[in-house]
Amino acid sequence: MRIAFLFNYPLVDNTPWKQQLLLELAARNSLFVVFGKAGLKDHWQGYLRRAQEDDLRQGAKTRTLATSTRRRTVSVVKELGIPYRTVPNVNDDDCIRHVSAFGPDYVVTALDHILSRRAIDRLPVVLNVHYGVLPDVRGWNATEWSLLVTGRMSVSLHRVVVPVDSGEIYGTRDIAVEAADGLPGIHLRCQEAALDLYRAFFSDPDRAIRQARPNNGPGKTYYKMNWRLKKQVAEMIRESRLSEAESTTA
Amino acid sequence: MFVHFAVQAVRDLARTLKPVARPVDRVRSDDEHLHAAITWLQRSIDVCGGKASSKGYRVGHGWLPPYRETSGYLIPTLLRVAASLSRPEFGHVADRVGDWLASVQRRDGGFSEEELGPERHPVVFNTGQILHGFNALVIHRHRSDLLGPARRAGDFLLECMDASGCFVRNTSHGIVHAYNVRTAWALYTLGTITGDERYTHGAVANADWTLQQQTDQGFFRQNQFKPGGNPNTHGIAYVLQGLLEISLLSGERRFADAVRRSCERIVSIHGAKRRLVAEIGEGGEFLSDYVCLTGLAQLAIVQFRLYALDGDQRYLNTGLNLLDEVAASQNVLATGSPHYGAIKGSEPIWGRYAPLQYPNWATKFFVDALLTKKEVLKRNENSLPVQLPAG
Repeated sequence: MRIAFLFNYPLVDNTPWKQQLLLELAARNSLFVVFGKAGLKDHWQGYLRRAQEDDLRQGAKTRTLATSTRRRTVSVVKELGIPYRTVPNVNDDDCIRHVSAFGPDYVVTALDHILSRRAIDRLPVVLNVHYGVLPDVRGWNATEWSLLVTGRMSVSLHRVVVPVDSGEIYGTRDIAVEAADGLPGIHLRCQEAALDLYRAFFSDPDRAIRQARPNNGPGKTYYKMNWRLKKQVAEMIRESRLSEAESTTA
Repeated sequence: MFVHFAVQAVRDLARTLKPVARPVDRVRSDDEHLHAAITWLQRSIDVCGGKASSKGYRVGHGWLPPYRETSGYLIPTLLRVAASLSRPEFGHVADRVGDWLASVQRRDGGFSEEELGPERHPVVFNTGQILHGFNALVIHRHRSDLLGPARRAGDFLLECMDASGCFVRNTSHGIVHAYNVRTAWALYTLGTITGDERYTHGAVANADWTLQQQTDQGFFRQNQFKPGGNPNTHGIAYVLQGLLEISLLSGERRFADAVRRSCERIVSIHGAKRRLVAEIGEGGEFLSDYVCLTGLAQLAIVQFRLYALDGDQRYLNTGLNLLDEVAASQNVLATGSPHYGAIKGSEPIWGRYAPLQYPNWATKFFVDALLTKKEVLKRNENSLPVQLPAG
C-alpha cells in the first residue's frame, strides 16, 4: 500500500503513537510524510494556541515543546528513510501536489486544524482519529465535551469529509475513565487507541471500508471549551461522577 | 488623560497583535468584576447628581451628560443588583432615576435626549428602553405612580407603528431598525402589567415583522444604527434579546426558534474563528477588526438564557467565553481612576464603536451578564422564571 501522512510542527512533534505507526507500516508499505506549519512563526503560534487552551489553573500542564526524553517524529522519518516534505500549510496547493505525485491509496491525518474541502476532494481516502464520542460529539476539545455531555469516552477512526467529523466510521474503541487518570491520562489512552485503530484498519483496509458504520446520527459540533467547564470535567473525573454528567452544570 | 490613553492603547495593541497573556489569566472572580462594575455605575450616577447615569466617560473629555435612554434600561440592572447582592440602596437609586425620567417625559409620551444635543424629536428606541425602567419599577418597587408615564410611553410607541408592526415613525436617523424589537419587549411587558392587549398585540406584531428580516444565515436585515453603516453585535444582541424575552413572555415559540438559529451561527462563528468582531454582515461575514465589548456581554446574556431554556452546553460555553473576553478587558486594579470597573466601547479602545469611551451601557450589560450567569448556573435547567427583571 502507498500511505501518505499529514502532520504539523516538524520541529517539535514527538508523539509516540505516530512514530510507532510509521515504524510498523514502513516495513511493508511505501510511505510519504508532509509536515505543515513548518515555519518558526507557526511553531510560536501553535505554542501560544496550546497555552491558550491549556487550563493551567487545574494543573493539567500539557504545553510542552519537544522534550529531551523523546525523539522528534521528523528524526524517525529520516531514520526510516521515508521521503518527506515541509510546507507552510497542508491545505496549500504545494502539499496537494506533493501528495498527489506520490499517489497514495490512503492519507493519514493528525492535524490541529481543519483540512480544506479542496484538499479533501483532491486526495483519496483521508483518515483521521477523533478523540470523542461519534456521532454525538464532533469538533474541538471532543474529549472534554464527550465526558461532559455523554459521560463516557470513545475514540473513532473515520473518513475525513465535509462537514467536520462526519465521515463513515471504520472502528471505535471505548476508553475507560478512571478517577486516577486525569485528562492527561485519558489523552494518553486515546493515543494508544488511535494506534490500535490504525493497525486494525491497515491490516485489511478493504474489509474495514466494507464494514464501515455511518456517522450521521444527531450529533452536534462543539468548539473550544471554556476553562470553567474544563475544570468541571477534571473534577468529574477526579470524583468519578461521570454518570451524572448530563445533569450537572458548571 | 493622555497617559491613560497611551497606557490603554499600548495594552490593547499588544492584546490585538498577539495574545501572549491568555484572557483567562486576566479574569478574576465574578464577584470582583461585579464589585468594580457596580462601583463605576454608581459613580456614573453620582456625577449626575444621583438622578440619572452619565452617558459615559470619554478620554480627554471626562464624564458626559446624562443619557435618558440608557439611564432607563439601567433601572432593571440596579434593581437586580439590589436584590441579588442585598444592596437595598440601589433600589432607592433606581427610584430616583425613575422619578427624573418621568419628569422629563414629553407630552406625547416619547423621550428625546435634550442633554446630549440640540435634536429635540422623540425617538422610539430611547422611549422603549426608558419604558423598561418604568416597567421594572412598577413590578419590583410597586411604583403604581409610574403607570401613567409608562402608559403614555406605550401609547406613543403604538402611534409610531404601521400596520405590519414595524416602527416607522420617530425612528433614530429616520430609518427602520430590526433592533427596535427590544422596544417591543418593553411594550409586551407593559401589556402584561396593565392587561391592555393593545400593547401585547403591538409587540407581537413587531416581533413578527422582525422575524421577516431574518436571513437564511440567522442574522437580520435592516439592523444598522445609521444609514450606510454595518450591523454590529450590539444591535444583533438587541434583536435577539427582544425576540427571546417576547417569546418567553408570550409563549410564542417561533421567536425563540429564530433566536436559536442566530445563536447556532454565533456559536459556530465564534467557535471556529475564536473571536467575534463588532461588525458582522447579514451573511455572518466579518466586516471590521475591532471588538464591541458591549455586544459580547449582551450576546453572553442571550446564550446564558438559551442554555437555561434548552440545557445545551454549547450555549453556556459560548456565553462563558464571550463574558471572559469582556471581563479580561475590565480594569479592576486602579481603584481611584475614573475608568476603574468600566467597560470600554471597543477593544482596542480606538475601535469605531464609542471610540475612546467607557459608555455606561457597556458596563450595564456586563453587570447583567454576570448576574444572568450567576442566576442561570444556580437554577436547574428549564426552571428559569419567565420574567427576569432585566431590561
